[in-house]
Amino acid sequence: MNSTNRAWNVVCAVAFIVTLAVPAGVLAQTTSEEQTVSEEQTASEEQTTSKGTSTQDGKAGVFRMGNSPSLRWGNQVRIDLHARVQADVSLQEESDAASDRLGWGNRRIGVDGVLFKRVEFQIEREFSDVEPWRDVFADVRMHRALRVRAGHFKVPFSMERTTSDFDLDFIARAASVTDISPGRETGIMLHGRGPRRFFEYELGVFRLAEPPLKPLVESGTDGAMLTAARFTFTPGTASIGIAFTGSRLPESLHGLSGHFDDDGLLSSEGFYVNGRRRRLGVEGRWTAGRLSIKGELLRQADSREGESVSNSDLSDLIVDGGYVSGAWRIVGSPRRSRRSVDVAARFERLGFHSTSQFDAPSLGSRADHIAPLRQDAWTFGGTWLVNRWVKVQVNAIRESFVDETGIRPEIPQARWRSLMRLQFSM
Amino acid sequence: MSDLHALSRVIRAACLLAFLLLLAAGSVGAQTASTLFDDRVLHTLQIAIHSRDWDQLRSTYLENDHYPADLTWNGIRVTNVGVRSRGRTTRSGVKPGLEIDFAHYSTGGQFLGLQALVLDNMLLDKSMIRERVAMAFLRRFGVPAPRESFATLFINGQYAGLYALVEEVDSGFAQRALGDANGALFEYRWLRPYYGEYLGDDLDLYRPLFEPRAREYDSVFNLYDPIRELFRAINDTPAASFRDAVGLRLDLAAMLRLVAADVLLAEADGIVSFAGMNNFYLHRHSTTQRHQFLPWDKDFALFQWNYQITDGTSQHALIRRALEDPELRSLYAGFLIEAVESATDAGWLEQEVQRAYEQIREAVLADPVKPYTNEEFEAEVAMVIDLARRRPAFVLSEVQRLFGGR
Repeated sequence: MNSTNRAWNVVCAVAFIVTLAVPAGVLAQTTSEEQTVSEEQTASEEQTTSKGTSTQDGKAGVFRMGNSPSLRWGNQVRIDLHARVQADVSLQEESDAASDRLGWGNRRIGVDGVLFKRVEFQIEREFSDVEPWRDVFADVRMHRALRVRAGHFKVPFSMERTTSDFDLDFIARAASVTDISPGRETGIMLHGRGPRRFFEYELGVFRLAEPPLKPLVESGTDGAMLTAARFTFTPGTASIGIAFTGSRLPESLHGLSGHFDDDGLLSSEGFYVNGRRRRLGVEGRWTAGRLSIKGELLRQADSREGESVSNSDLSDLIVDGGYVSGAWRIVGSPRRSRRSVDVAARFERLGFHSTSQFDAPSLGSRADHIAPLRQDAWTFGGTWLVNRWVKVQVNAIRESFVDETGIRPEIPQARWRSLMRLQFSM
Repeated sequence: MSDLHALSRVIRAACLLAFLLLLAAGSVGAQTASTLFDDRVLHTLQIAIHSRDWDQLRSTYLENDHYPADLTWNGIRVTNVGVRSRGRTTRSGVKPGLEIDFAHYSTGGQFLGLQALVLDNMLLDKSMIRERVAMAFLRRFGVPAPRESFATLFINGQYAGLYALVEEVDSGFAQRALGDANGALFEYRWLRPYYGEYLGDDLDLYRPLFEPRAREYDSVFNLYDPIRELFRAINDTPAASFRDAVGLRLDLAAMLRLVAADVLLAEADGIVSFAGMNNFYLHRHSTTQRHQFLPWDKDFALFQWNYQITDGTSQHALIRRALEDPELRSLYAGFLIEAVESATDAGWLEQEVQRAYEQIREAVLADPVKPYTNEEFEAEVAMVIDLARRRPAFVLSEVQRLFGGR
């Protein structure tokens, strides 16, 4: 890690500590109407506190057992412990050994809570060697319209990406969401909302832990910065939003493998990129009783400065796609429910092409007109919330590839996959 | 009335314009692979390749990695071709031999009907004319051989030396030269001196020697069982039935014609070489299942005017046994005399060498990356010209001495 990386992490750590150390008296200067989400959640959970636990509001050392174990010191401090485990089973490969068909999803443990009514925090760790630290951040509320979040957390882009893995309608996010939207990064974000949540905004600056793609030449210079903005409007039961990100992109080879080619059949395809990466996302959601419909359109444009065979610029390399999904609650309350059964369906698309379509399409790594390829997928699924902790999901997925130019020697055949997930969340 | 005149003028002008456009289109459309391999012309090839890719190709010239490039010839620009370093003993990071693959980034991609084009750096031939002249003689003599021409190559606008443009031996070549694009095709890999002996039953013994260049996805048995049986027949068939048994699996006449041409050309590194078999492709016809040898890489041809015409034949199982058959021996002697006649007809060989030299001389002298001096080039050409004068008579005298005339 270079010195600037370290400095950046120190800044975020200091920000985190400062936010934790903000005097309660200062932060407690609130008006009655400025109730935080945390307070709402606290109130909600207080209603579900198990009988027999010791509760003594306003005094220290109170332990509660709601959806998860919780420690509270009056109404100034709340700390909740979470543990989450997902186990996935591939259903259709019956000839494979059981051990090959079984895999772990997320296995996480973490704490979150609220300090002095003004500071929310979350620390979550995955039982994994790869990026074990998930959310590690503090969030300070100055006003409902102005909050500051610092630490390591999800970049505000894509409705589905910023939804917890444990609250999704399907076992996996749409491929376009996973592929195009950024994940967690270290940064600072201003966010807030207007009255009745009609309008929400998130504006963040992040330092990427590593470049978006492996650079061709390790320059040893600073990692890229990423700026992100997301705006959401919620008129009634509908919600629409738009989001942007922008970042530098080192000279890299951008391959199809890793996007939607699990089998590696397209691994030979790689395209040089260099310059900037810009993302645009549009999202919408509508809920009516037991029915909810949502969708997103996402687009990532990578510039290719100086990457033609004659060292001039090439047209942008575009990865775009989206999904539309609908879910119907057939058992349980339309709102939050401890026990419920939902059925859902989703159509999604993820594509790969260039903005230029003048000359003949090609798979050349410096082609101005990249031969387009896209993946379409249908997912049908059911979700059974057995109780407040246990959830069972079953998905059947049909994926197909479309190479309109027909110049690829081989593309994966359309196929069905089926998965089951057992999830414990506390 | 004046309106009618005006309309008439407009129609005439339109007709003239259409005619001119048709002529222009015709001239573009007339560009064929034959034009590219027209050896009466010193061609110019332009390759645009990203500067880092070119540096990388040269620094890793022993690898076969492809790099995207644009190729321009005769005003025709082909985008997104794949370029790689090529060659066995001629690989170079200074003047790399190149293969242009028109289908590498696009299945079915081609240029003038070619899937690929070889740019031979002629690194081992100080005269730079042996390969092109030898292939021209083979074709003149009726041997299916790659077409070749000379070209000056410019990389990103910089002169990168003189190259020979060589037609790739692939299914397209097989269709043009043999009328069979669906046959199996193998490139022979020289691993050790191999004289055509039977290697045994195990097909894996033949696989390293014969690398498939067509029908690559056929089963190992389908690809290599006929080759194993060919060499079994060559070695194990009794002399009395040799011609019939081997003739079922190999075009013996075509083989002898090729060997005779190689003898005339003093080819020391062909299917009868100083170290076993080398520099050939093996084609198996899709219907007759008969094999045929196809020549490749003639940079060791025309190297010594008095190179013995029997060198290598006694060790070579196929040639030795073929020449034990009286009918095949007579056929071979006839081919040798025919080769001499073809080379001397109107002084063809000497004139062809002289013409090639005059065509490339300025380009060679200006070649900044050739691995020899201008004086070495001139001296080597003089030696080849001398060979062209003396070799036919020498071969003829040897044929008469060894075969007693036709």
